Amino acid sequence: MTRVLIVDDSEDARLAIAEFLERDGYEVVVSAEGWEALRAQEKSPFDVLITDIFMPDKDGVETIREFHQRYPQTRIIAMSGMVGTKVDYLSLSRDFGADKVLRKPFDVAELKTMLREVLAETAAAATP
Amino acid sequence: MQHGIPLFLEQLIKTLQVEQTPEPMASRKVSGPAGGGKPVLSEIGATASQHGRELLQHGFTVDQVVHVYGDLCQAITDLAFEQGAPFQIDEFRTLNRCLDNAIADAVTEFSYQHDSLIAGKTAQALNERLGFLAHELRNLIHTAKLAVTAIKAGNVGLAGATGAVLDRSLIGLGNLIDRSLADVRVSTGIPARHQLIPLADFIAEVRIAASLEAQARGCGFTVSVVDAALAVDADRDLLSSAVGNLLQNAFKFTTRGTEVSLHAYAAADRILIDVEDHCGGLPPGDSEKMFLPFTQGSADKSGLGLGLSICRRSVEANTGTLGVRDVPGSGCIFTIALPRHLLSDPSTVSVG
Repeated sequence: MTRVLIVDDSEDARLAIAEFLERDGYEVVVSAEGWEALRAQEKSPFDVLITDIFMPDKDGVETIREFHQRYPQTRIIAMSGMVGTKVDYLSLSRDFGADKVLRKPFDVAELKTMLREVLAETAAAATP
Repeated sequence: MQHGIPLFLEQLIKTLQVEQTPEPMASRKVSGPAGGGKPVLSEIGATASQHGRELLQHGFTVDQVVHVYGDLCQAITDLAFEQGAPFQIDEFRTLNRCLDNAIADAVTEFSYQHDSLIAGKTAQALNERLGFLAHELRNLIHTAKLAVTAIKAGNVGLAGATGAVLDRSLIGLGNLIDRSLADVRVSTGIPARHQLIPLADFIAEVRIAASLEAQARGCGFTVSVVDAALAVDADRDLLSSAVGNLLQNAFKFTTRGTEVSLHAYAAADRILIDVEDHCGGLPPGDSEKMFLPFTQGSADKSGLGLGLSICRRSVEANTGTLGVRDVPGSGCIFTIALPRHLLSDPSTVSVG
């Protein structure tokens, strides 16, 4: 079963996304922040990380950078509602290793499509 | 500095030399005319403007810019005295004209650049605030949208957990708008619209809105009876925003299943409004830091930590104070203190 880790400081948001993905048959674990996410990954690696960007403590960009360096096999989707600031955080996320980015608010269908795409890419890369 | 005093001295000497020629008025091209008025392009004007820009970059104040040239005048006259070479009246007039024009151009450019810098910083700060506001709005809309999608799919009902998520998101959007409006009012210095408000009426209004939020958050909420004779002289919107903000925080941080209490009462010459939660007590450290913008002192890090900062400013705009007391092992009590007023006819007021 495909394992997905969702990181978002909003409990409502992470639980809502988790519910949708669980219904589609994914094994989902949620986390409120980056450090906790890294600990969960160390225990048992995930196929996909879906993370918010603007979070207190360990922010999403830092979390992405660390996941990308230490766990390159884990695909990463970044999501953020932070726009209009000097820094384009979604672009920055790509630079640090995010495979796909989503701007909040998004449709669950968009996220599901993106998830299927990154998993298909992983499968294609693994095919000799 | 590339355009400092040595260049000015060269231009002064050049002006004095041109004034010795058959065409003394040609010196105006070097150092400009006397008497100010419409700006005229001159060598001294161009370099003094650049000098003004450089002084700003080096952190000088406008006072220092003026004194740089004043000191130069003093140095030149002192040197002339020491050398036994007194000025002719015309020479002194020329020195003054050159200094006047240089000071005017340096200060004008310094002020223009300084104003541009301030305007740029203000615009940048405003953009950042708008960015943060958009971020919070997008997050709440995002969660509401997810909840609506789930409800529309027919797998969950409005009365269940997903309905509560939707409730919380919509309440959060309302709170965010109220808080932002309060922020705009206190930040732009729009004067508070003071009016005598019956305290019991005010608390009754707050209670209605807060009860919905308590329900959505799944915690208890009690409001003590308010003395019908008491009143506050306050801006209703700002005070509502401040009390609402404290209650939102209390609902957010109180331990699941515990109660949040609201008490409004008189003590000496003050009206005190207490919001008490059971968050387990404040984290160690300076509790005053909680009131700084972008500060979050709890495990729940949602939001941007602006609420208490705006809240305090809203209370201060009402000539009140906002403080917090730790109740170790239990929670904390935020207290708004306002000047005490009495109603002349409390019988017209409903008790909360």
